[in-house]
Amino acid sequence: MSEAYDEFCRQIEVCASLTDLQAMGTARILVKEAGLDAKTATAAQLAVVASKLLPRQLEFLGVKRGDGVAAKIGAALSAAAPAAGAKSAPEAVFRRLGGNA
Amino acid sequence: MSVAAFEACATAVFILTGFAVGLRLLLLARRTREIPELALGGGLFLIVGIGYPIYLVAATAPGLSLEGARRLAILSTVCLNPGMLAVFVFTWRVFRPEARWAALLAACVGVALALLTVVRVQELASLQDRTTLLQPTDVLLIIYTLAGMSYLWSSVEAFLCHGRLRRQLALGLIEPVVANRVLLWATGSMFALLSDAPVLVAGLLRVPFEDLVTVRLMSSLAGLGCGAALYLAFFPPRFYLRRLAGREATA
Repeated sequence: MSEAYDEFCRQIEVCASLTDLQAMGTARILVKEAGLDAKTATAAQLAVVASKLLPRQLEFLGVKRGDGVAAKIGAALSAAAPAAGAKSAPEAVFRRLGGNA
Repeated sequence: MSVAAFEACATAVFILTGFAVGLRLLLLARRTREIPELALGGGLFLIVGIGYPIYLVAATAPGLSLEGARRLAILSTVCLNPGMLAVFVFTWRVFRPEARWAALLAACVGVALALLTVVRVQELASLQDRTTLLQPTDVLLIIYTLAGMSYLWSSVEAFLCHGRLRRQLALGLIEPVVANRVLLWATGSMFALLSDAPVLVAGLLRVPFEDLVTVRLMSSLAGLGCGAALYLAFFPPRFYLRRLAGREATA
């Protein structure tokens, strides 16, 4: 798993007061729904996932003020050191193949 | 326009596009030092840009001596087969970099192509009639099968990847042009397979490919489709980029 993904799981667990299993399950569902790969997902991508998909999932889990929690997680991910995007993800390769190296 | 003229035009477009895209990706690989661009650029350049046209010259150029045809056909073989391996390596490294079965498949194909190259070179060295270059032998049919497998695998993986990228696109996580490039590569690989398949089937059925006009037309059309997909993927014209951007804006 990417460092950003691990951080995403940790943030969900802490900020939404979920168990580690619930947090990992939530992250897994969201990453799949977003078409990302947990091994290559970046903090920037997961911040978008947190803002656009996480509120609904938190609501489903019965977490109060899910919007605020999701915004907090998104902000934490955005503030994290911007790790370089995975060079090996297919989308990164095809971006480079267009000449955007 | 006659079938032969259409075939010639389609072949020329296919070769020019493959040569240009292959060269461009090789130049990119020199800058980035990454395997995928080296593999794809090398594959396209060796197969479409060099190997295929040399083979056509060996088989059809008027006035070429038998010895000249032999040498060109051997040169073409040592370009085409490593090129095919490069496409396998590209698919493995881009879509299944951590899958052991994919690494094993690429390694097995590498060994098989090395052996087939040796056998095919021996076959060509004893060639007695250059017109038979267009008739697939058993060795050539196995090579065609491996070529078809490389296009099929790459196409399926790219289509699957595009399905995932569409979800990213909906969230604004990826640029439309990148997702579209993956789709075009999937489509182009499928066209390459469709262009290759009739030759393979005709060879397996021992039917002279030259006599199958409709099939030849379909094969040429598929080649043209492959060239068009490569062109749009790697040299997208402005109108095409505007259209992609417009589609995103209205989504």
